[in-house]
Amino acid sequence: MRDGLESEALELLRRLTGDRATAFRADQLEAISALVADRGRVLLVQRTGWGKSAVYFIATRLLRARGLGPTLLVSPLLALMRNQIEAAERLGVRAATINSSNSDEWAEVTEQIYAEEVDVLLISPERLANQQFRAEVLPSVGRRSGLLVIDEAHCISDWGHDFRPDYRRLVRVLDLLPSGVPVLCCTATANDRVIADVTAQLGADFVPMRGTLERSGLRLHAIDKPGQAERLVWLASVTGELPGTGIVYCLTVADTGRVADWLRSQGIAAQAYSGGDDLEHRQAVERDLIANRVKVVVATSALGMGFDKPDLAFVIHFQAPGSPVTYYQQVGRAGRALTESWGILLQGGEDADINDYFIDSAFPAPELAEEVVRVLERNAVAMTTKEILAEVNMRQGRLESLLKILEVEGAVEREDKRWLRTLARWKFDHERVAAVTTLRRSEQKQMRDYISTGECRMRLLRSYLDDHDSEPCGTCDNCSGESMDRKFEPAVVQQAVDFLRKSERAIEARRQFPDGKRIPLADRLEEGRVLAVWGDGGWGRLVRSGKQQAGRFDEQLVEAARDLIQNRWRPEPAPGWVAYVPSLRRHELVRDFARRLASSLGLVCKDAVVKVKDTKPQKTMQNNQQQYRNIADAFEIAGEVPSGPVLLVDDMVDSRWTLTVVGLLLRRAAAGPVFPFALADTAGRSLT
Amino acid sequence: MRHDDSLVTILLAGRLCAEGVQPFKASEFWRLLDANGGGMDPAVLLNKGEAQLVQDHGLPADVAGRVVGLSQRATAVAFELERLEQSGIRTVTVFDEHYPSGWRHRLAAKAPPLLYAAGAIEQLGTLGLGVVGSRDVSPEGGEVARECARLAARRGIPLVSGGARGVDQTAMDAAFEAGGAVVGILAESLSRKLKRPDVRRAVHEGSTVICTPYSPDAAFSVGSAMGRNKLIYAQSALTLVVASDYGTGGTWSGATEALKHGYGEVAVWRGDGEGPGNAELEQRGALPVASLCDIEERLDDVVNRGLEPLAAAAPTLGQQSLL
Repeated sequence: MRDGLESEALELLRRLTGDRATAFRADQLEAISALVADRGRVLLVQRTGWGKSAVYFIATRLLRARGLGPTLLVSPLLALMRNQIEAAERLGVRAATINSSNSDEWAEVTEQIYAEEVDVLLISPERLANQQFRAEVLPSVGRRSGLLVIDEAHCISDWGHDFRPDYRRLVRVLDLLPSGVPVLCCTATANDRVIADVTAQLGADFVPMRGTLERSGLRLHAIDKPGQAERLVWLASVTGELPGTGIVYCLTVADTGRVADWLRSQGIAAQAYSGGDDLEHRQAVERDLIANRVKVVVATSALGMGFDKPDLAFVIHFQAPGSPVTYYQQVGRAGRALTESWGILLQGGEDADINDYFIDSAFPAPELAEEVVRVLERNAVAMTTKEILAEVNMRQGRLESLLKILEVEGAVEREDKRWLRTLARWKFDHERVAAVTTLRRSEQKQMRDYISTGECRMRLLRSYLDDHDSEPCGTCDNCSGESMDRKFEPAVVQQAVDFLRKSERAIEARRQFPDGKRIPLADRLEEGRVLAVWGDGGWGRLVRSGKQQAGRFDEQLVEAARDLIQNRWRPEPAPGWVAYVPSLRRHELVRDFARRLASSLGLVCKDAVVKVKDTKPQKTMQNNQQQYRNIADAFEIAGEVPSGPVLLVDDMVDSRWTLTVVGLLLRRAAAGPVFPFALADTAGRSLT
Repeated sequence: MRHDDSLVTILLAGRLCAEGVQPFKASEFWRLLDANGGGMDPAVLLNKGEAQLVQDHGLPADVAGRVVGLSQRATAVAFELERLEQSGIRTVTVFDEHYPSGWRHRLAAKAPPLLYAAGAIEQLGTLGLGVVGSRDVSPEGGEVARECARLAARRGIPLVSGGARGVDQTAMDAAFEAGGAVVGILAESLSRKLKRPDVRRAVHEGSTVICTPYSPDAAFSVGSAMGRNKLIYAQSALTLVVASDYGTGGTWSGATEALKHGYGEVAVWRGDGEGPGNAELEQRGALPVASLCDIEERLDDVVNRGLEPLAAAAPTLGQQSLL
């Protein structure tokens, strides 16, 4: 029987690849046989490009021929599977996709499944949380069980860095699936700990099959370059010279935009890419990169798993990621089908702060998790996030991701758009959180060691991923003795400093009160500007030292603000006077700055607003309702308010509630349009 | 990983995702396991075609066809079970640790092969004190129900009841207030019952279990109420009928059926608050009780005596420990 299976499988492989001479790689046939002949469970750990999709498409074809139902393939990367689906069709494997953007096709797909016209149904893990999908589509594919494929299975482990809550659900489903339903879990990269965790969660009857992490031809370099301006100059200079196209990874969304802008200003075709962009834009950027229509894509880790461009010539990190696993995954995208490619890691001065922030915010604080569970338990009915926010002090975004985690842990469930405490017992897992955090810290240290090492970088990286006993690669900077570090003339660096200093951002006017009521048009702010990001390489540092050390904002900031307002922003109608947001604690800091700015603009600064109530710092208020409540009645109009457009000055902007409330008072006191201006943006970083 | 025997029981005898298939009724399920000499583990039925089931296990062809059809939906059922477990509803089969100790013992081939439960399922392992009665209970009858509930709490055994209004609800509320364990066996939708805030709070508190042998979303029917009543008797060391109509109503038919078939020990209240049917129930063999002391004595009798031997008709399942 096995011999018959082998020749059948080989024939299918040859049809899939279109190559009559091709043969199976080690483990491919074994995996197919374990799934088809034994109806077993297989965990396949193999690098991207190894041919995992050949395993599940061939297995699907063989299982279908043996009377099993359609394959259900769960992958976070559906958008990137088009090529593979086309290949599968050469085998006569008919694929259909269900995702959030094609809900008008669900009924049709469901009918096709019932009519046995679909061999593989591809879904994202998020679908499994969708009630409509579960009620309408899932029964059609589940009523006759077939192969279950879980792609990117390392997402099961929260020891890893790609943990996806919906994968926990899959683990529980596997637990409730009797033997005889074949299951294939695939992942490209994972270290021993992640594999051990995944295996433990999948259960002992999974057969692991694991390949090596060998990557020849990839030249690894690492350079410590604390200054952002210098790094920008380096980046423009090096990407201009490297052959082919590549990816530049940044840690934050804001940085991707800035770095892409900079590269374009230096004549390099660059595009930014992050999870904040809509799917269409991201797909367009991916296509441009695949077709080499763009030199560089500057991306967060959102450009990640499964992105397959075999001729990607370089992967450069503008900031160092938090772990060797992440770094290996990202740098490993370079040069899969090239004899020579580059993986260059730059370490910036800000990396540690950003990575610390990621580590500290990875888990919800136990008190908050427990409080949310208690609130829901006490109410014992389903609540909206708004109703919950009224009882707990946390940001809406944090609450939503906390609820998602609690949902996966079985503590809460959704009822339409409301949340309900489930009837399952629940306790915060302190030990696990502490263990994961400790692990993240040690990975962070490994990254620092990777940068400072004098040994072979490839060998060190592979050893971090538990692929030991490899030989020195011979091509990294340490092996070859060729450094890519460069020094630049101060005048060249100054150009990048100037660029960074012009990366102001808009302050969008709030349109709603926290209770959802509209702010009347006549009471709203105009669009404003914020000069810098708190602490960044442009003006951000000077703002920070002004506030934290000098107690007075430097004259350069006055000049920079004037330059921004008069030469780039040019608000219309032009403000005729200046107001500022008063403070009880540090009365002079903002008033002094506002006065100097007013006089440099040739305007008068008025003490139009007073603070009548001491408030807690807005940054300790975690959500809209709490922030608004904190300052809603803290200010009053004092004295005469001139009519006509006004520039409203503050030092920091975070939630915008202070500016919104003061702006509203000014407008109601008969001032004209209110244009907000702040020195630095301290809002929480957006991560991907 | 959940045991295959348990999962196959859910596939064959459960009614989740059962569109277009015909799950086995309890009696059919037990007969299936008894096929080919008896004592078969359901897991051996997995991954076999019809012909092989006929050949290996001597199943009739139509039964083999049903087994195959029901097993095929394993993936759909796994997702549905996961959804239920997420909301706190667990499936307990006769192959699982917490399956009610009295059911298989006393009900034999009428014992449901599985049930759905939310809350403290470990309470199902202990026989409790059953309290049943009509929906419209007199104040005196209500007080008897409450006294029984306090007695159960004091003795550390669960109060077993049906979760209907009247006697059921009165007894369950009193047990909860007294800090005792509660086993509610429902004839109607478990999901709907669990939407009630008071029920949720009771479950969160930790010693209440609410369960049903019917699908969690099933609607109430007289048939299922009848099927449920025997489960209360079978899960109780002693069941007290507080007040029953004569010749009519669920309490009457449940009690007479329990007496006739020996589903459990039946006691009947003979005092203030009793119903028109109570005297006749005594005539038919229910143990008369007129005070709390009486009830406690009867309870001691049962506990000391232990359960009667396994009913002859019950198929063997290996080592099922009782009490």
